[in-house]
Amino acid sequence: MKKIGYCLFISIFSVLLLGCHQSNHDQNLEAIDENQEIIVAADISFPPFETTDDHGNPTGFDIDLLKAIAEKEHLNLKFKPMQFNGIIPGLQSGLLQMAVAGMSITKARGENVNFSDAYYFSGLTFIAKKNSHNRPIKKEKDVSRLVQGNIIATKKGTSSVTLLETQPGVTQVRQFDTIDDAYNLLATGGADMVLFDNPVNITFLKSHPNYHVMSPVLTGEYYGIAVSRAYPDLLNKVNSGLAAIRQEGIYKEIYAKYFGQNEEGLVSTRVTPNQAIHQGNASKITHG
Amino acid sequence: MSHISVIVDSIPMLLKGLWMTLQYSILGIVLSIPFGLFAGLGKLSRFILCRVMANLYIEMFRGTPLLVQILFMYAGLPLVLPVQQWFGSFYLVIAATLTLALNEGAYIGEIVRGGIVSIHKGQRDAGYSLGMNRRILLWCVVMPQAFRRMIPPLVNQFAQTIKDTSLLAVVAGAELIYTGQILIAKTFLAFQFWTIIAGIYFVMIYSLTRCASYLEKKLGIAKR
Repeated sequence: MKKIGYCLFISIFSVLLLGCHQSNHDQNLEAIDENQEIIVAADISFPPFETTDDHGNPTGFDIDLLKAIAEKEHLNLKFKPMQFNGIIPGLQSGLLQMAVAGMSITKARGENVNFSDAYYFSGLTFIAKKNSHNRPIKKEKDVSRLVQGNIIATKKGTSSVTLLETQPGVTQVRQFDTIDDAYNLLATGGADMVLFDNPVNITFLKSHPNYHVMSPVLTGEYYGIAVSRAYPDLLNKVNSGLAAIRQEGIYKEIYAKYFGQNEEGLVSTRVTPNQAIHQGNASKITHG
Repeated sequence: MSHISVIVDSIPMLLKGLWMTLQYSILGIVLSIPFGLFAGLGKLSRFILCRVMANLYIEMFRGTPLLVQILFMYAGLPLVLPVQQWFGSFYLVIAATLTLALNEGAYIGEIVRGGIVSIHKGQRDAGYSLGMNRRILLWCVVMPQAFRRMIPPLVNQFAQTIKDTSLLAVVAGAELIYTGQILIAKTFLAFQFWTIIAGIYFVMIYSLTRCASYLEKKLGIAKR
């Protein structure tokens, strides 16, 4: 018994020590020079924003956007495929310098990493099988009725989880490492619905005709490029690069390549992370 | 410190995860024993059919990774069989414990067989000469002795089972690792939560091995 107590003590003690551990990173801020390889985490299970081409290389809207920014700012990027829920810890520890993952700019995330200006405006939708017993809803306020008694699948640590946590009627939420696993559970009948970022859901529906959207686009969230707090310099470069490609029309070109004429997600003027947190109406549904 | 209050707030969720881990572990261990006995005794059987089946079972489950078995049972099989419709939301627990039990059972089968064949042939001859039949000989003479030899490897296997439940995180098994991932996604305190979770696993497995060494002492194994 003594030994068990000892081990518990060590575990708790090491946790207590942590206050010091994390503040260290803020002190040795690093400047980025031109030849340095910048490691960019990309969650490649997020089409059409990040996915892989036939040769396994990362591709998609986010990737093209970042490549364009890198070209403007002479950054040497190296993409590193990663699971979504590993990205923020990686940025915190400084192992990663940057990440694109269709990451919504939220207050909680903003306290742990730096966000660039917004580059896409998104929202969440529910999808289900066409022959399911649930009927689609037309208004946001009916969400609590829609989720009542249903098993809902989504991806770990995403804004979908945050929305579901505030809904009283949710029986079960199943969270997976990749959204494909959630779609698979929907296919097997293990889940009644999937809640996820609308553009990704739409991409899924294109190849799966017997599913349909169950709700209007809920919330409104801006995607931003996440940059480790240890590299404030890099954040400035990303922002000025983004501003440059927006002004020169390159941003719009890349947007059109992936989303065509539908300009719902286009962020045509500068939206800072602060504005994104306050303007995004994510709070509308989560707190009311 | 705000970290401490965040961790304190997450205790109910961690306990829920711990409860699921314990549930998977206990059900997995309890169910794996009959599978193990079947496999171990089957391999030693006089009947060729029993031997073939036991061999097939052991080789199948030992020859593929547990992760693949879990994904097959939970994500693959339901696409061709309407198991989700038959069992509803219980399918997760059923698939998880059954896969764990089948996997561990295959290893336990080899432990059982090893224990039995390690008993000296003289014991069997003595039993036969006293007029015992095969069944009585097995359960009253061979098994009690073999069991004492099986304890250390069995405890090893049970500890492995507890650790293997962590793989269920990939199918949203809601156990400790899954809970940890969810909490970290929300609080971004990766170091703190992985430390706590490692500690919880350690305490669980350490208590198991303490119980086992108590049992060994009771049975007088360590003294020999």
